[in-house]
Amino acid sequence: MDSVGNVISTRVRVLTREGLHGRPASQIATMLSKRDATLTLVKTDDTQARADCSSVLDMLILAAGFDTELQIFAEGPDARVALDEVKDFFNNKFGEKES
Amino acid sequence: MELSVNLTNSFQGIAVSPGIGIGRVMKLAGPGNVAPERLSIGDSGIEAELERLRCAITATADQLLSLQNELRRKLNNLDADIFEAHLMLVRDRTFVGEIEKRIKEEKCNAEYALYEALEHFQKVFATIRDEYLRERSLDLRDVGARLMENLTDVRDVMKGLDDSRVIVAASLTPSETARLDTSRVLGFVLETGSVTSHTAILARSLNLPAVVGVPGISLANLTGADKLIIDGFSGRVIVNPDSRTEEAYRLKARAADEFQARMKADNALPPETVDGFTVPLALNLDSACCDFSQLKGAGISGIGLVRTEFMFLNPHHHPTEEEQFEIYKKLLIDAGDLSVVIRTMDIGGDKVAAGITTLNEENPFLGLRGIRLALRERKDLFKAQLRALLRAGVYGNLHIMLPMVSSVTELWETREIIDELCCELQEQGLEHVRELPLGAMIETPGAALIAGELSRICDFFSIGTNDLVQYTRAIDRGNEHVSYLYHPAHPSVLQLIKKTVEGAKEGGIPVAVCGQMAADPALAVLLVGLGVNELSMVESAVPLVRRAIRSVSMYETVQAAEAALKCARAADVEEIVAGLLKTRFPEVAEL
Repeated sequence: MDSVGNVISTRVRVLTREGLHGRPASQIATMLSKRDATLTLVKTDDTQARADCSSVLDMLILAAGFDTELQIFAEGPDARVALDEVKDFFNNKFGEKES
Repeated sequence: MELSVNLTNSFQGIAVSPGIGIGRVMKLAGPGNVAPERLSIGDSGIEAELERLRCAITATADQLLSLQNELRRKLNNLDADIFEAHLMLVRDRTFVGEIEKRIKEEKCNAEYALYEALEHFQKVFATIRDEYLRERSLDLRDVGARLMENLTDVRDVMKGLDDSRVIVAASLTPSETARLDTSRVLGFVLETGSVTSHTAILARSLNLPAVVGVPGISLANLTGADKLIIDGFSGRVIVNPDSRTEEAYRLKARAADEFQARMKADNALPPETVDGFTVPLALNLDSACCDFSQLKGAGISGIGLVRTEFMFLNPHHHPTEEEQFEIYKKLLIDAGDLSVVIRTMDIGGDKVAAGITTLNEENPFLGLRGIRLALRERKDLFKAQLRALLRAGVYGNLHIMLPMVSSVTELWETREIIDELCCELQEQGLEHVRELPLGAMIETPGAALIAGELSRICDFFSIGTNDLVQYTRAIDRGNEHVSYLYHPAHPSVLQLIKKTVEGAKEGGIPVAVCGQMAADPALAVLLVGLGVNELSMVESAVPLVRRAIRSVSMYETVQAAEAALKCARAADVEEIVAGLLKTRFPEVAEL
């Protein structure tokens, strides 16, 4: 995990076939609503493509399909715990059973 | 009945549900539809528009919550999760921010700001390369439609009406139609859609006329002050008819009603030709949900086609074996002794289901669809479905049908999988049937030409005429430029049906037809003459087809079929069947 000033960050990959779609995006936004932190997703191969994790629409427009690599930046009092939660969520394939 | 109509105030669409509707227009606007009117509100109006937007958002969120709860109850939690994403979207910072920005900067009404914001995001989504994620724009569109509805509040508008109306819209989503007060709907006129679209099916089940495929430009200028006649038999829509035209249509409507009532009364009579041959009639179902108590009086012999694609449409959740098992089991128990033909998932072609495959095919109709997709790409889903079917088979008279079969190998492979699954189920101690009748859909000329070989390794055929016509005539059903060539009665199609029937005889198996052709009384008679054993169709088509069969002799139908096979053009065939029907069954010819 990197840390610049009070911004911390980590790198994740989209592991599900369907990509970061509506359900996982809304779960991420829901997780964050309980934390005092701002999280931003940035595509590592296109740093112009960013999404605020409190907005489902932002994350959908980011269009993070299968195997997309993303850098997550977190800021705020709960940054650490929120970042860990979201990172685990990515690594656990958004809790989805591959159907 | 020939009606002369002043053509300047009428337009032609596709009739998808029979009947006549006469009444004023109720226009439903939605995003991507007709743009809502842009009203300038000035600085002073901004706060009021923002407040209207906030109210509509709250109302939409409330509806989504109650819909979610309702669905959870109905579906045992399956599928209700999608509303979670919709709930988040309707309050989404980026989305709402974009609408508010437009109200403030452009000083326009909330509807217009919403419309513009949706257009903006649709454009953004359109640039996404991942097809599945690109289609997530549908989620936003659905939320946008609800929000728009709450801004304009259709139901309140309908409540305030003192008369019933003809619904006019670019298109209708299932959730929009579900919220209409259908007791006050006289019919539907839509810009887009087809015989098989959701609204068409709904209209037929409600016995309301519907016309689709009406050019948007014709609909754009209609208002609530305009009166429409919609003719669900011919597909004609007439705006502000003169009194003579209206009177003529009222007569036609009454004649049609009386005719329908008489048809219904025939339901108890067997579908038997005058010389005593019975042609079993079966039903096509678009989902595994069917109200069998209603079917009791419909005089049918079974369910000739249950489509299962509907279960795979939710991209967020594909049904598990257990969920499918419960659905099939219930259907079979409800059906009692009736035979039930369940078709395994027919995905591909025009039936795209997000999340099933990541293939990007240039020509999906000639691609991995039906059984091909099941065997090559999603064997996992196919196996789960077959396991569920084998287990459910214990509870009724189940037949399995495979879509898009084009070679004997596909049947062999499927049989092998079924054997393997039976062993698995045996080991797991799960109750199941070892032998289920396995049928092949005949939908391609190739399959028809090897029908003899296929008939030896399967238990029945069902001809899917919609696809058979498309592949035989080499025309894309959705391509308007070649739609003039779409003739089910074309001799080339009839030759292939004959070939299929002959092939079936070699293996001693029956042939059904479950395409649109079986639902057309004139063509149904022709199919009987060609030697088809069973006709399967939507429920609303049963009375007419029954009457047609009861009015001809088998001898006549065979003669008509023989004459038709010698024709060179579809028009000649149509003339032959129309001639037969006109003498035997004049009421149908009139409609």
